[in-house]
Amino acid sequence: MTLVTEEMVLNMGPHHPSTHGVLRFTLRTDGEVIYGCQPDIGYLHRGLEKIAEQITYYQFMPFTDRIDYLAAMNCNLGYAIAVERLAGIEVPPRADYIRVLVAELNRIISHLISVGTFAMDAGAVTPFTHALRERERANDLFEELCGARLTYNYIRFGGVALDLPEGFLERLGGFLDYFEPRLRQFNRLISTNKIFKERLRGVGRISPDQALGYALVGPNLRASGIDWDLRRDEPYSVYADLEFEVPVGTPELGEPGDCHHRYWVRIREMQQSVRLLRQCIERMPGGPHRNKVTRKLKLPPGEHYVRTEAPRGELGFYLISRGEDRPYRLRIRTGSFSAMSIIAALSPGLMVADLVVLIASLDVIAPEVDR
Amino acid sequence: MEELVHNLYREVPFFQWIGFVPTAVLVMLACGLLVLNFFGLMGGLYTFFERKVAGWTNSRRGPNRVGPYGLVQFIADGVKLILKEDIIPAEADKNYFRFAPYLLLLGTALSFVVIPFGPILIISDLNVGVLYLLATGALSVVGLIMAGWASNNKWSLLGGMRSAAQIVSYEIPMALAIMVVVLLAGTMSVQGIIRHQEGGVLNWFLFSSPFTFLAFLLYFISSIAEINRTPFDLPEAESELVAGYNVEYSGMRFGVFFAAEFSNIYVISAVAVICFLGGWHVPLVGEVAELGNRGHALGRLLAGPPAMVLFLLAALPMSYLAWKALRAFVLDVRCKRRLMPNRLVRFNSELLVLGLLFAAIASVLALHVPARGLLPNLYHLGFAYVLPFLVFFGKSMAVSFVVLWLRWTVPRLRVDQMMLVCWKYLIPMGFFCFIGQGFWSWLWS
Repeated sequence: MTLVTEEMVLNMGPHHPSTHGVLRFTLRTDGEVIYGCQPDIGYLHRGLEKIAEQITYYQFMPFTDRIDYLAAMNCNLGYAIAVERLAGIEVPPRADYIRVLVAELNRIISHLISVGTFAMDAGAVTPFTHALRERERANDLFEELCGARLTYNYIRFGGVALDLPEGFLERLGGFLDYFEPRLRQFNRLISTNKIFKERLRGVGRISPDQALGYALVGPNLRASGIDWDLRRDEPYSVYADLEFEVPVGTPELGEPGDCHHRYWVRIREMQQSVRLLRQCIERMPGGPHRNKVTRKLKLPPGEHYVRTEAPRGELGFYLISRGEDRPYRLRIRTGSFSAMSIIAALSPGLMVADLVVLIASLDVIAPEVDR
Repeated sequence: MEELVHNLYREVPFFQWIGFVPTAVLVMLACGLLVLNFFGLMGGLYTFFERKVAGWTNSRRGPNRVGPYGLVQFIADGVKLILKEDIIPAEADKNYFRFAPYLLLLGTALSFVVIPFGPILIISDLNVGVLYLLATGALSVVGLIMAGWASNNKWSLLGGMRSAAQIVSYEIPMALAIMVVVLLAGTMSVQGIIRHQEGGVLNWFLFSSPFTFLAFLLYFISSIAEINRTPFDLPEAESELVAGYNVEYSGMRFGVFFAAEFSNIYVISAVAVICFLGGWHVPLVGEVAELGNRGHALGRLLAGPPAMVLFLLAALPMSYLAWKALRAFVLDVRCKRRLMPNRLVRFNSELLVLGLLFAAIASVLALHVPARGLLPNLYHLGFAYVLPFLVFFGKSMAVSFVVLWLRWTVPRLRVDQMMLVCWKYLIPMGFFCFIGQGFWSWLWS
């Protein structure tokens, strides 16, 4: 006698305890295994690109914070570079180093949230709270710098809004000295835990061809074995002068492309960011923190696409200017959008618990998907 | 309990006037009340301990607002649950829906009947005590399936069935581990197993042979899976996406599930202590007292003035630590009273507990030899009733602390991984321990 099992449609709705934002998935499952998964996006669509057409370039800077609020500095930086390149605005060296400093610090804290929520989705709550505890120190640094803990609105065309406060670099060095052993402790707590590794091994394996086909970027792409990082391969700001490694998924942890690799790439990226930050502290030049830019900023007509490496991958700004003080069109390309698109292809055959782990490993956050 | 009924009927005229059967019924009711009380208290207190342990593991404090150091929190939670609206799903099977939590309560509360708190402080020392414990553990399965079915929710049903499969599977390694102990002790009676472990810490079944050590680990892991705790709580944590068996329950019905789960933690810790960690035997002082009792030359030596000096010396560091901790507590209270920030001493609530513990150990060490000579009745009372009770409680709290701690340290296993671990690793390990222990006992007989 064959068992008749129905396929049920389950709604993993916009409200759910996994903290990836308002995303919705419609699952077809028999209770154990998923047969199909249809993502539904748009719950956090705020029309940022349309707003960009209505307001001036200056006025849009705080909105870029909200593209990816966990990595706000990187979004600010991408937008600033996009506008500056088209307008031909130069940035003083001190400002360049400050920008890289804040971008890398933001990368560390963004990845802390990413791995923390990843561990929480797999069942271990403590790594998340420990990650948040480290994040508090960095938030204190940011608050001292620009007054905000999450959405900074710090980077301006021609430089940064405020210069570094007295003793900031010492305190940043103190944070790094505090953070490195904590990261090792974090690894001992969860990253090398056998149960955690078994949950992640082999789940959601993405081959390099599949990754390129779905236009994955950032740590997701590198975990599949493709060695591509915009900071090294298309350097912007002062990345060309700084030394760092780009972590890529390697066969020593098993075949690349599964959740385990995506997790480890993020951990190693945090370690590399610490290295970059120490170099920035050493090499911080003196000088002005911002070049003067005209009050009314009109960009010459033209269009271009500028991409930078945000924590969630390539953040691209395609800017079309018709010679006014506001863009004709600003298209924002984010890494989470492509990551979202691959979930539907990877889910058949996974168990429901694996799907949670997969979504967490791709580091999808809703504001990037919907803008 | 039977002896109590007989003794009461024989000695006290009031009970003779009532008659034998009413006496028995009264005693049974009293024991039932005691059991339910303990069940409720343990259930509630453990929610508090869990939240405190969770807090400190997560680099934060647990609840510390509601009472002194947050101790009243569980009462506040209980009151909240009682005051909630009682929602029963419209299409649910009402009778089974109402009854299911009580089956879980039964499963846990019945286990308290054979938990010994002292040499004679046990409700009923069944001569199949251990078997009875395993049997009542299995009662909860029926309750789970009933809860899942009666909720009229496909996902509750699946979650309940998954939970039940987990519990039923992990009963096997648990029983095998306990059978190892029964093999050593030769009796299934709980007091019998404990009495076989007398004579010091090294006589505990944990240290008796490598097979019993393995059996302890096996028991520990299986019992955590039995009570559905992380790392084996996917059936309930799946309520993040799908429903667990208790998703449709609200208010005090859910409270009963909750209290049953937490009391269960106490029960399995108590069983671990009974079977492997010496039960209510007092670790250090008891050994010396035993030595003295047996008329050993060493014992008589240790029971005299040299012993007094030795114990006083041992009591000194304990007293010092107790003094420091309690002084910190007093200073902290004084600062709070005067609304002053406490910049004088570092203090937290755990320090108070440790301070009291050290004070207790110090006083027992310092006073036990003179007490034995000067106040033999009090000494007997203390050592026969009070100290074993405290020691048993302390040991089971220590084991349950590890259970609580584990929840916040380790991630979850997926359902198929969990079943794999049980059937492919733990059960063969259980058989290995059982047969190995048989050989070991034969070898060393």
